[in-house]
Amino acid sequence: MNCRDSSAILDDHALSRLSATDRCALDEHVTACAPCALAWQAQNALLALAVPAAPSDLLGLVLRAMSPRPARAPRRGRSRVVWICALLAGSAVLAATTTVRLLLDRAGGPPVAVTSQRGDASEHEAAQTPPLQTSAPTTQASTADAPTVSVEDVQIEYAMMIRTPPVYPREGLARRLDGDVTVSFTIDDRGTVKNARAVRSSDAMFEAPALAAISQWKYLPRVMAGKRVAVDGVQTVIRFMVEPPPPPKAVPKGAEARTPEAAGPAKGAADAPPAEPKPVHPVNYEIFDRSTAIVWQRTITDNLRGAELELDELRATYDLNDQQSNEVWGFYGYLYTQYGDYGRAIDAYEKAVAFPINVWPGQWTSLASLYFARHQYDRALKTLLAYKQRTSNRMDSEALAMIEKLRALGVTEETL
Amino acid sequence: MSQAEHAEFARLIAPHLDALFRAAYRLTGNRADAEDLVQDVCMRAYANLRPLEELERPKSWLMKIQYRLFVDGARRRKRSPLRATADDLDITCASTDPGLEEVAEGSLAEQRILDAWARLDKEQRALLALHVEGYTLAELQSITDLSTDVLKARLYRARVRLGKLIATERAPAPLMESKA
Repeated sequence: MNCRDSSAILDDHALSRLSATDRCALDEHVTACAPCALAWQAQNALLALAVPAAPSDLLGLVLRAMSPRPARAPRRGRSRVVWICALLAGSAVLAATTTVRLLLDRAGGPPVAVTSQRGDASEHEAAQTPPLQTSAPTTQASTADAPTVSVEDVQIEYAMMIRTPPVYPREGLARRLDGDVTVSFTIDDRGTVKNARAVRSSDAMFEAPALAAISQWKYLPRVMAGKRVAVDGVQTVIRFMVEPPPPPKAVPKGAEARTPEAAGPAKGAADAPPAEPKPVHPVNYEIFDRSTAIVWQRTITDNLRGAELELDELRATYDLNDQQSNEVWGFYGYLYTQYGDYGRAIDAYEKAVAFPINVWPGQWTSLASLYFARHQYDRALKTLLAYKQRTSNRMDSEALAMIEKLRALGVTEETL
Repeated sequence: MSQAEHAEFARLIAPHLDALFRAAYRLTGNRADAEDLVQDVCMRAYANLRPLEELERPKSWLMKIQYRLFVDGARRRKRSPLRATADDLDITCASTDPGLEEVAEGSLAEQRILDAWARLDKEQRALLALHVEGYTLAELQSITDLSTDVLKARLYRARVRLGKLIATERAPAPLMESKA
């Protein structure tokens, strides 16, 4: 009997099946061999530990924890605010344009799909996007042959998480005025908006509601060299528009079934074509917003696991449109970077930028920075060039700075 | 989750909850964390409801998720610049948790084992916990994706280290000692 045999007996749970002779031989070896003696002591100690029975209501507990928050029915007969986030990347600062469109939607007016409460519904028919795969990201860490990363080089751009809609000023409503306000502000290291001030506005009456709303917005803060830092001079344009309700569109029956009113169980869906893929759940911006608010809260308080789980749940439960998917994968990228899991962060950002809508140009810069930190300079440059192409040559200053850094390293468009 | 999905999921997961909880308790060392871990596992499993239905041995798959969540969760946090020093803190704190005292019932010997256990590396703890729960090497292999030889070597090393820790464990472990 030697250490290998002794260990195999432990491994195979074979003690009780040993013959008397083998048992003697084992005892003899263990008495003489200190490591094996320790191993057997450990095994016996573990077996001696009591494990309590599972709580009797564990199943209930689990199921309760998993139930998504109930979706509230959309309110009808009231004006709706429709969000459009068209983002522009200025040369100096990242400028986000937020358009607030007030639809005078009266009771009985044409149903507006919830999908259009945020996101450009005119350019992008969210309801038509195929459902995102619902499996959670694999838990397999992609650590194998990952290049070394210099944390110093990692710079992850901020991303908007919570946007409280501005209130359209009453005085404007009577005159049906459109307008816009350019707001400049600081995103502090907790992602909170500070020092918001109006830089420009078409009418002073829009300034107060714009500032009031923006002060409540929350971001994932910029990360530099592993630390969350504040960013000054971020600019956003908030656009106020009053529009009559859109003319009733001839909505194909299948699409109609996706609006919250009709997507409800069975009724109305009966005559939908059978080939129509069933959404997991219709997109609901209230839920999406509430969920991202939770993700933000958990990320800021360093509950990264919690934040990740919330994203997993959101993705698994809802049929997200392209814009939401883009945002969600961007958030994953941010989280994984915070974990220090750069391989998965890159995967997530790659997924995010692959969507036709990029809510945050910062996603490109973040992705490029991760490649840069892993010394994959070619990929970093390719990412930046793709970004440039997507935004028709308009890039944020961080991206331009990185192109310069790459040039200094001898990596240019020509060397690719 | 619709009513039907709820019921379906409950039916699939219910037979495995006891085993999940037992292993989770061994991993985390206290009731509350064990329940949280089981919930995490269930959320993952729910996201993959279809595979769960199709699997021949769902328990092994669930255990794999649990193992990954426990070990990778710890590993990721360890690598994170933000949480680098907080790793294992929760677990070490758990040794003074009433949940454990409840089990220890003032038994000094048991307390010593638990303290040593809490100081063990998370991966080693996970391997030993699953093994002592009766999983065979083949099952452990599919849960951990390790080769037999690596698995055997790690189990051996984990046992010897735990044995040493138990032998040297005198007073309850200081809060941050498990960092090493």
